[in-house]
Amino acid sequence: MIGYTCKYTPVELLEAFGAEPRLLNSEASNFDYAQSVTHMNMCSHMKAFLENVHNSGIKELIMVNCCDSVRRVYDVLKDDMDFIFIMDLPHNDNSCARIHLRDELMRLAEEYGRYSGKTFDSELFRLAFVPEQKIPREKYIALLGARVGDGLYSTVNDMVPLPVRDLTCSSNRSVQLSPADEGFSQLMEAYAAKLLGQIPCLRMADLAGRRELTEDPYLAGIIYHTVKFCDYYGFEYESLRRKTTVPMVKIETDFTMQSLGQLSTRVGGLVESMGIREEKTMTGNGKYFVGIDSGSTTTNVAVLDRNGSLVDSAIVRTGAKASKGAEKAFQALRVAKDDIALIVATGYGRNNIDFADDSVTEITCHARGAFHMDNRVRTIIDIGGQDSKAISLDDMGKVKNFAMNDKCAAGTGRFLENMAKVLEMDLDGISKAGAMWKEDITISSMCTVFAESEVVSLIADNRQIPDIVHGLNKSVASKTMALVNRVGGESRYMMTGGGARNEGVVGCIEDMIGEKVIVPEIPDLCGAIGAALFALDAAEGK
Amino acid sequence: MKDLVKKFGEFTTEEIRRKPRRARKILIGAFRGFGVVTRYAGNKEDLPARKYLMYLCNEAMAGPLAHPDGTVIVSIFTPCEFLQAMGLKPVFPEGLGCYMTASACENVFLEKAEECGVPETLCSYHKMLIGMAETGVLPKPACIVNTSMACDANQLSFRYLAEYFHVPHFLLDVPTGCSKTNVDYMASQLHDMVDFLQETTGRYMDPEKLAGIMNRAAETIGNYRKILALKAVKHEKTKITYHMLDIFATHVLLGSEEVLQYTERMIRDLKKLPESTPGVRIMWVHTMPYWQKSVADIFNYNDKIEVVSCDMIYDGFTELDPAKPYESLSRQMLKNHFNGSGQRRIDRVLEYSRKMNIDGILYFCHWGCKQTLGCGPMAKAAFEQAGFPTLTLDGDGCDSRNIQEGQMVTRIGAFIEQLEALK
Repeated sequence: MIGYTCKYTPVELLEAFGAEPRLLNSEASNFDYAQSVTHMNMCSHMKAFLENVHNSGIKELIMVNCCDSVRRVYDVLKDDMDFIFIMDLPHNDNSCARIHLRDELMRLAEEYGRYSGKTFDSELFRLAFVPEQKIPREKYIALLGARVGDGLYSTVNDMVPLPVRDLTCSSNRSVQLSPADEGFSQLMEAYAAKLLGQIPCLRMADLAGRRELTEDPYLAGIIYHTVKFCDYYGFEYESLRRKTTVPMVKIETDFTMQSLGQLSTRVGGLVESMGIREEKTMTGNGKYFVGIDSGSTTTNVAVLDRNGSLVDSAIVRTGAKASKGAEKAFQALRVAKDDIALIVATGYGRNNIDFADDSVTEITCHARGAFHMDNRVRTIIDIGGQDSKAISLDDMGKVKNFAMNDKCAAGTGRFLENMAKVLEMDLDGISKAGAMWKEDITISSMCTVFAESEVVSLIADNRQIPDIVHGLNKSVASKTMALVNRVGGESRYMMTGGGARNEGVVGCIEDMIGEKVIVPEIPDLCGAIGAALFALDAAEGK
Repeated sequence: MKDLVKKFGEFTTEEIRRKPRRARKILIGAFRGFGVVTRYAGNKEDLPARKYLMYLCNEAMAGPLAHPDGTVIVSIFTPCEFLQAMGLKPVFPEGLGCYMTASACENVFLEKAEECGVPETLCSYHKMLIGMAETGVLPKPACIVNTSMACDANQLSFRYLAEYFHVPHFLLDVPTGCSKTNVDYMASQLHDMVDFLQETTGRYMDPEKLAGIMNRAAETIGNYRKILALKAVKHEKTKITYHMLDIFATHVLLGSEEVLQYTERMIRDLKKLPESTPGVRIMWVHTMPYWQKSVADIFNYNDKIEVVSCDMIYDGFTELDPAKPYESLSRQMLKNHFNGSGQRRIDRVLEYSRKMNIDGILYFCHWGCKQTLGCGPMAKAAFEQAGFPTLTLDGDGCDSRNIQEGQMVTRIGAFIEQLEALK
């Protein structure tokens, strides 16, 4: 078995030598080995690839010098393999490039032949080309962008009620050749042309062929995947975001199984915004409708009557378990359990609340709740404990677009909580102190850990606490504004989530937007109110 | 001085946000002014040749901003000899990136780029260039030419900028390995590049002028070899900024009359220094955060510690045959130690470390440069096996948001103590 990772790998040529090429595309459980032999900021896929190779004991590899990380992984592995070859792939697709690739293919054939002791079998080569399968004409969701691991594909597939086609980097391979009776050099030149003629990946010079991926009339939506520390696909996402007419959501993973848990809100939000969510049949006889927003810091519950009026609410600390937090929040309510007709859960822990009748993502719930409270709102800024997000709404209050922070905590409530600890204050103290600033300090570090060290230096430098807090507020506001700009934020703006209680952060955001933002009386309840409205809808058969 | 730069940065940042064209003029004025002041009244400890280089580089940054019609955005490894022969000026990410950070106004550009969706993990030099374009400070160039080497960022930022400015774009696809086929492949692309430039800019590439530039480039590389040989036996009390400027001189500015003059003056100035190598001598690998005060405070004008050279100065040292510019410059790119296997770079660093009486190697992992940081552990092991204690240092060449000052200073300090103990 010979491992590979790139779609430009000449797998048919290897099969012509009797080799069994295998795409190494699994997520890693950790990067212990990878980080011991290279750097933590390398492309996460290539770190997972290193883990794969290390754990599987694979001893034959064929690599393509498609990016910096691949080249460095080749350097790391080259002395440990029985056979390893790196093929120089041109960026262009013209006659000179094809000749260059032809020479590379011939070099591979020679080296692999020498290593394996086998010769090129033209019949095996012919058989290696798998005829293209006919794709059914039906609406589908395309998984685009950087490669996805096996685990991610199956997770997304389970979450989306339409067929999902994996058209990411290594999965949209299509090489067809009917070898004619010609010399080996001509054959390899024709093969090189076919390899280079595939839908180009982002490292190629001419990307016109990628339009095929997004101009299919059956394309219903796009889940765009980027891999942490692979910079290529972020650029295409941004370009598509500005142009595409189909719903699209971006997900980023670090090629570990752990990162998959973060995807449900984003993918769920897309599914809900497309109106393709599989509806649950819910019935209930009580008079109240409950929404539970299970966040990383607090669990918030809103209770509505049949008129949609808020009759009860509770906000409690979530604690270690989402389900326990939800039970605690329920105990804090005044309404009797028997009077509750339906419960819809939202938030990070929404799928872990057993007694909820249904769950809806916090994206859709915040949109619903915010528009219900004030129908002038077109942009919601939600700064939660571990997520911050911006959601843009249309005139009907439906989600037009949304963006969330990546795994990094900068710009979230957790960031301010950590900084409050460093300053030996609580969040209320931070909120008050931020309003009393005099000197305009900028906290420039974008990483939470670096920022903490910057704050420690400022304390050591005898800078005033309110000035430091103002610097932190500006940092959170700046991160948040990047999300607002990504969704094309428009007036009027509403701030929700615990972050909206921080007057300093609200003030900084207002300065950046240039207008006052709407802050609901209890900003933490917006998502729960939205969820309760969905419960009410369900009861009324909407 | 730091406060003055900070105030300048704050003022310019506001101007960038409000009136980017005015901000551009302010930056042009500041670069030119600082260049002239340094040349005629700079630090007395600097060699006169160094001050002249500062003046040259400042002009090289200001000129294209002031006269964008004749400018081409290039990657640092693009053979700019052809541009010079057509009277075109290069703009390159590493140059402007450094200058913006040294002017303390980098954050507004980096934040703007990230706002536009540029990945946070992209090389900060390239991110800065995109931010400069998106804020309106970087003017529209005549066209864009870049090499595919040495890093992925080239494939992204230049394409982005070409689309942003709606200008023609030419890619030099650099294969690995210096075989005859590859030289021919490169040379044919260089011919195409010249045709592209002539067609796009309407300028004529004068072969005689190119021959003169090639002669000067060959002579300049020869002079640089002499400079490094002199630095092997002499201690130059200087600041690390000049190594970064040397990188510009041996890349996009190579072949110019002024850079040749600088190398001649540098040889003369270095010859006047006594033969002595006190203190610990460090070879720096990769770009330098010379604007970072805490790092500069350790190395600048220090009698006991000297950063003797940087591997990016000599990455492209090859024999140039002025009679065969296309083949020569193709070979130069193909043989560059950034092109291909990491072992080539390791070998070259070791070669120069041995030649230059180096005590230790500082391997700088610039944020986003997967080429360099991916090779870190391998390089450290190879250098240490060859007898050179090595510090792998994470940081950023131009994004002050990406650094952890305290930890960097501690690590550099401990490394220097280690080297001093071994002396």
